[in-house]
Amino acid sequence: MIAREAGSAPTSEANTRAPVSQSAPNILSLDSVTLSYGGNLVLDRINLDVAKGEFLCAVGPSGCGKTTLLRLLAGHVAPSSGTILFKGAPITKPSRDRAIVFQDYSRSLLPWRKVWANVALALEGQGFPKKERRERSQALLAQMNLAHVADHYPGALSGGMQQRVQIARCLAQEPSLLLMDEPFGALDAITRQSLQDEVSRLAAEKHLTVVFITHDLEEAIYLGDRVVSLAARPGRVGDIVQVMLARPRNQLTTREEPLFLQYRHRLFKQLEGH
Amino acid sequence: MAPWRGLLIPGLLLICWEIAARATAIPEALSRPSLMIEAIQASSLNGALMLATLQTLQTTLLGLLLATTLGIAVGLLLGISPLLNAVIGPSVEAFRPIPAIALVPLALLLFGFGISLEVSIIAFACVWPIIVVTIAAVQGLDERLSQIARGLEFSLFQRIIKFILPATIGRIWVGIRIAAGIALIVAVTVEIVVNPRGLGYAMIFAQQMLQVDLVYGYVVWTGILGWLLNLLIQLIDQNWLSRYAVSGR
Repeated sequence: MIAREAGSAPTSEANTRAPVSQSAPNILSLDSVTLSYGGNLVLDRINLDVAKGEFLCAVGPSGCGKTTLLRLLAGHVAPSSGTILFKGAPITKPSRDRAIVFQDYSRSLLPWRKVWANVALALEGQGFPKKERRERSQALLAQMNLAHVADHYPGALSGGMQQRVQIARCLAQEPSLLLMDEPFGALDAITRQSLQDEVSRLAAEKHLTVVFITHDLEEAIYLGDRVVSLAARPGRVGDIVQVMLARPRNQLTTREEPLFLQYRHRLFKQLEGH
Repeated sequence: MAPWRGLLIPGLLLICWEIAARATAIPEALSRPSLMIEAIQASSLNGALMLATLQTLQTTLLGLLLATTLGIAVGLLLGISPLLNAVIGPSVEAFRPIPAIALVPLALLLFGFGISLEVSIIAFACVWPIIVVTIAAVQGLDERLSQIARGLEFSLFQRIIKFILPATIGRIWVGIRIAAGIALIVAVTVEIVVNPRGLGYAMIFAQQMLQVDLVYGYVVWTGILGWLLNLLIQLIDQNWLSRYAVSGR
């Protein structure tokens, strides 16, 4: 597959695919996706492909339609024009195959369910007996270092732990596409870093395809295989950067690499320009 | 706060009443607490009090149960579907102000004397606050819950059981508490007006026998009953539903 470039994106070497993307088929394909809301143009002709197994980060200033873009991908809203193909078929409604991790974890867990039952929610209505739901949830919680709080209620957990519970619930539904909407935006810096590494590790282990929305430029570069920068009013693709940093990445050394700083410089300039 | 502090004012009132009556500062028809207690004791010894209490409680609870079931069902439907709310909502508002007691003649024709008459009127009186509170609770639900439910492709029934009911039960319970107070009032009223059973009928019967002390005894006893009923509902709220109240955003 050849990456299609956004109409306004500058042509550059970063727009070419990395090896991982060249061999993998596209799981998600946006073609000239436009969304108007009450006469306002929110997203303007977004062209974007996401390869299977890719970690794509979208970064942009507030008002650039990042969250709206994610809601389109989840299927909660439909585009005004253009097409979004997921596994070759248009997205018409939300699906179990696309999980979404919301930023505000406390609103996104059910406070009357214990931690394990919040994770097991994703397995309900799937024909799993209760015992298996419990076991699968417990196993996922163990992978997220949360086994010891399985029988607590979410309200008793710290923000970082609540967010890990939400991520565990989304992983429990075994989605082909994991959407993350500024998932660490409400967490403190130290918790954010450990969760970045955790999600990075899980994505590699489980070969996840992730679309990760953030307003934190460095987070986007640190996590992503590619970083899409969005420009605001109307939201459109500004630049696409292929991140060639080696994995596994390291909070200290990766962020000190000259390449990391180059990406940061380039994306910063681009975001500043709007 | 120690619960006995709430008994201070009723206790003082009873003492003042007793003193005033003994000093003949108030008409004899107002009776006094000591005579009242004697009369109620006599009634409890011959079983009349127990029977009347059970009869009134039976219709009160049955009526409340019927109203709760219907009220939550209708409230959920109207809260979930804006279309149904637009079609049925105005009718709900039109029926709501009808005084339940005004339905006694109609209910008497339909059911005759007895439990059904009373239960139907209690249910009519109690269903409105539950419907109104349930609609408001469902409409006020966080949109996020519906996003999660739709993302997991749950059916409407699963959404109600797993998301909507648990998230709203804390607020619906407030409606049930209000309805419980109404239920007892309506039960006793129907008994006084027409139905020959329960505490209301016992009151009107004692009045016709000119047993003023017993009339007051029943009045105070009914008050205590209502207070106990409210306490029970509050206890259920605190012990079983507090977790759900957290989500009552």
